[in-house]
Amino acid sequence: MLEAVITKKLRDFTLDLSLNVHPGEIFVLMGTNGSGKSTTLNIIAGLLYPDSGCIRLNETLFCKPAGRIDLPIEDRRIGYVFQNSAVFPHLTVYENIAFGLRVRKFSRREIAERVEHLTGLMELQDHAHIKAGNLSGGQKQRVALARALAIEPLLLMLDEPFTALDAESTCIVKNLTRSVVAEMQIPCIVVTHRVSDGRDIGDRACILSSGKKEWEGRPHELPDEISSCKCELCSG
Amino acid sequence: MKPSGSIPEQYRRTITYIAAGFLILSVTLYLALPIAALFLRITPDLFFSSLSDPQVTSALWLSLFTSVISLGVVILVGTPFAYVHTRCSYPGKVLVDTLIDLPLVLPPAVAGVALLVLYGRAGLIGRYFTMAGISIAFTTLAVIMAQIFVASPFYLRQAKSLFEQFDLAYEQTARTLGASPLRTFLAITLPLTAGGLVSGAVMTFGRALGEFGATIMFAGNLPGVTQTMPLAVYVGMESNLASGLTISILLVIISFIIMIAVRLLSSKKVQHA
Repeated sequence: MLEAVITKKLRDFTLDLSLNVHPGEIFVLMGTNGSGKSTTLNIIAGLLYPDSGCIRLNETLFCKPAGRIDLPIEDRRIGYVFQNSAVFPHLTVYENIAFGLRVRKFSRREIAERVEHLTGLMELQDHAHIKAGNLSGGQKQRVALARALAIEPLLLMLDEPFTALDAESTCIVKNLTRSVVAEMQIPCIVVTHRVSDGRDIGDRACILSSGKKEWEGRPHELPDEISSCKCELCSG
Repeated sequence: MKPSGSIPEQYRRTITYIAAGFLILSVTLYLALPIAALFLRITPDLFFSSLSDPQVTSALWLSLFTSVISLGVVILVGTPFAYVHTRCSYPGKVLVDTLIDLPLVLPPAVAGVALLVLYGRAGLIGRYFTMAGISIAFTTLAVIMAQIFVASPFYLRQAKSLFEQFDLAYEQTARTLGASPLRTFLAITLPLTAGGLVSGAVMTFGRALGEFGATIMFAGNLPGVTQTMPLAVYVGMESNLASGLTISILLVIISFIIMIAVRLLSSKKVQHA
């Protein structure tokens, strides 16, 4: 289970947020651009350091400024899919997915088995030896997801995973995310600015506004006045 | 209705074409004629026979040797420096930025004098080297130091610009996948910026090869020790015109190859951009 209490002074406001995400649960962070969604993910991943608070995943304490505790990024075992998918364009699909495994010194056989399983799951078998820079947006997103899952993460975080995708690819990535989170029983946070995506994929959701929770609950319970108001701001 | 007295459209177009053609031709000729004159001033027989002149071969090898060493130092020190400089905020960063660019506008002779008053026999640091029996000025090492001082900004500016534009999401992804900062740099950042870095390196090599002012002030003009190709051209024009012209032509050829290499490397679009 992920437990996070985060406070960080940003340029325009102070991010002040607490969230708990259970194993197998998809928690959706929604809000307008610049409301602190991606910053929250970056703090959990260890790319930014909070001013105060505490982040804990299962029994592992990630960070606690009061105790000067800051677990290195590479030791947090988080599968993080960035907004633009950030697949390494100079590496093949295979090499992209195998990257985290090679870094962690897995044997060749283990790497081959795991990559083969993931390329099959993501329907990327035919593209395994293609340079990732030559793939379509949907394929890149699936490579990024496979790469994040290859390290068998203890937490999965997806930042705007559907923004650049067409309807068909969005549907595929949503279904894949749902099934792997359920199968691996890990907590998952999805950041999106689209209310419809939050409703489709989330078990729980919250709306962030200037770094503070404006609403939290089940996505389908999202009040119409907030939904319609936010749709104006965040529909994509 | 056409205003009276205006130039008809077809004449206006012809005049525009003639003016544009004249402009392009005049600039091209201004740049190309001196180069062509070099080639026309010497016969092929004299050129090839001068190639075996000891003064020419010695200057050629010394130039290539010192430029390669200078380039190696600039790449090995400049790449991590540019990366750290780009990624870190520290007091005086703007001043360091200005210092990096300074040699580009500083007259090379001034750079030579500056190096001499620092590393010369009676220089600020040089006097201690002299006491230890080490002399820097007027040695091959001085040639390399002068080349590094004058040519390094070409590489550093290019590297800085590449690292600034580089999408941090690639590095952050690699870090979350478990890669150390060094592995992230070597496996992700470096390959994705390699094209631009090589282009900067080629320009640096070209500038080091053509260095004259700082070298003559700091390293002198000793044949076989500090007399690089540009210095040999200077000497050749006074004593042996054929060897001076031969070295000049060699420098033109090398410069031309360098510029083609830079154009080819620049045209290869960086994949992440």
